[in-house]
Amino acid sequence: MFTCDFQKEKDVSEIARKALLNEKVYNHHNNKIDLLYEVSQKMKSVDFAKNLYEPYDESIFESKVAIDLLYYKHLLNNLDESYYKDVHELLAQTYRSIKEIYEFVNIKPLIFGKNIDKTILENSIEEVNKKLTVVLDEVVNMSFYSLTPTQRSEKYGDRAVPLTKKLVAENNDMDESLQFSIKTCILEDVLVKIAFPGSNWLRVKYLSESEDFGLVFDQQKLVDLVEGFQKQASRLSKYLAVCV
Amino acid sequence: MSAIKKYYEDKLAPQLQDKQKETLVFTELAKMVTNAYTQNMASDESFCFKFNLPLSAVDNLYKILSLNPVEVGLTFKADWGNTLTAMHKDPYYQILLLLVYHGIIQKKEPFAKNALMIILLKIWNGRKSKFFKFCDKRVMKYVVSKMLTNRHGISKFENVVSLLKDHSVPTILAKYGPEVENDISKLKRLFEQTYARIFQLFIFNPKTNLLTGKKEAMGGLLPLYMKARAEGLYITKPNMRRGEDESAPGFEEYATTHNRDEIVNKTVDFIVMNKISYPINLLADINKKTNVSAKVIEQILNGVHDHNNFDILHNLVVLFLSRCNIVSVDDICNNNFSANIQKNIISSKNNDEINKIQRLIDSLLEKIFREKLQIRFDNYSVVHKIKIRNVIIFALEHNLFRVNCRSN
Repeated sequence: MFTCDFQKEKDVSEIARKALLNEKVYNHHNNKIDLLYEVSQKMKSVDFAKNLYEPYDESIFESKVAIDLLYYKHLLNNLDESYYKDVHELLAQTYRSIKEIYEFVNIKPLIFGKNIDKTILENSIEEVNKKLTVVLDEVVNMSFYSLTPTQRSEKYGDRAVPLTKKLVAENNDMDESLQFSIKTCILEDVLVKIAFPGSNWLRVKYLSESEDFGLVFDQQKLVDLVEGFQKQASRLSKYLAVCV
Repeated sequence: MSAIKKYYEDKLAPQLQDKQKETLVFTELAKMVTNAYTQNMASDESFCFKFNLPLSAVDNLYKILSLNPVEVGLTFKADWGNTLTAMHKDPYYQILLLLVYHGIIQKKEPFAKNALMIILLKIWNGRKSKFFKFCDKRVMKYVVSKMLTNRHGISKFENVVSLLKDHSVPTILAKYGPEVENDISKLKRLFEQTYARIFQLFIFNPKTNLLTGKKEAMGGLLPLYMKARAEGLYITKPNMRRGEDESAPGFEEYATTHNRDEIVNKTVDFIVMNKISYPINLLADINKKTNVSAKVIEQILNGVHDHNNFDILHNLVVLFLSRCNIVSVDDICNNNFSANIQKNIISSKNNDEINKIQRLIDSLLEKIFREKLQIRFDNYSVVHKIKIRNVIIFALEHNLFRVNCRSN
């Protein structure tokens, strides 16, 4: 552009310079966000808990199964005899899945319940029942009774709806169906806690979604195992809901 | 005629004329010696070291040779008299002395050397326990590296096992072997001199202390150790007096005995010089046992076959063999090899050798992960690293078997 109007040329240059400056500031600002975003994304994928877990131990798993079965014996006290075979088969399948998951993620199995360890097996039946009742009362209290009605509906509402609908469609009473469905949800949670106490369940879920883990391990196999276990837990919780 | 000689000729010699039995006994002795090497190599205890004695293995020699320990004891008593110490009467020493005698008389040097070495292990343990009930390895390291003069036998050796193997065994056999060959009554002298030589390493030249009136040793490890301890002298770093560092533990040196070096070289050469395709069922088996994806297993295995890994693989195979007590190809080609690997390497934890194996495998995996997978191996948790390491362990097991057994 050739012009003899130097003032006009100066103005145009000034406008161009300002535009470039603005663009630079804009880019600088945007890059800052990108960098922070990148760091936050990286932090999300860092496995901070990676060294908190001990490896799987077969003998500990055996003790765990023995104690877990005491919980089930306690919970299934009122089970109708006609369901015995089905429930025991389902329990066996569920514990096969639990074992495979523990072996897969290679973490030490934990025993559910405060102050419950393998020494409980040396106690009398009455003492065992007493201790397990305390643990189970505590967990049900924490999962349900200590919650306000709003908290209860927030926690279980969505999950209870499908089963409630199904039961109502089968001509069951609305309130009873809803109550039964919520009870099923609570027992399903208890069952998961018994199988994977402490942070073990969170670890299993984390690894089934972790990108780094999936790069090296057969993650899909773990996802299938976890889904299989969840289905078994859901079925088992319905039997438990009838008994409790 | 000497009772021991008669017993040897009547009961032991006819059995050892059977080559198969003689080889079996020799292999047992070699295993015990190899075990002692391995223990000492893996230890950081300097001359505070104590061996795990092969008591049941020595006892087993009586069974292999169908000898009665009581009968052997009576034979020794008949020759050596009634005024014997517990050491003279110990069945552990008696059977080994008979085997030393066999080695000398039949001119089978390795036989005599191994038997004498096993005798020395127990004598060393006994003297060490007597003189050093509580032994601080840091003080001992100071004594060995700073206080011993060249006159002291220990000053020339890095550890107990090399002292016994390279010094005590050959000198005792060279000096007393010919005497024993001519006259079996000198076997007692050989035994007592064996004891005396170890004893002298700890204390010698006792003189009366004019201040206390008690007899005190002027030379040997014990007085020097007590002096260093009193003055608070010790070394916390590895002994560097010969320009060798801790990362050169000398396994290779000892593994070269008992056929190990041949197995190691053959296997490692094969791995680094060949890119092999592993059988599909092996890959599936590794996948099942470790849950590492099949694709990653293949990439790891491909990464192992690289000439740049020679040193790591060499050290790994040496450690594998020593950890699994493998002294010949037969130990690899039998059905127990996998179980042996499982027990002594995969399931074993918290010992020096296993820690070294883990460090070596980790350095190999770090490289493979970085170069082949573009991932940091360190991103993985301790428990997952265990599973990934097992891929390398299974691969080495496969290659050891493939190289040493299929060509036979």
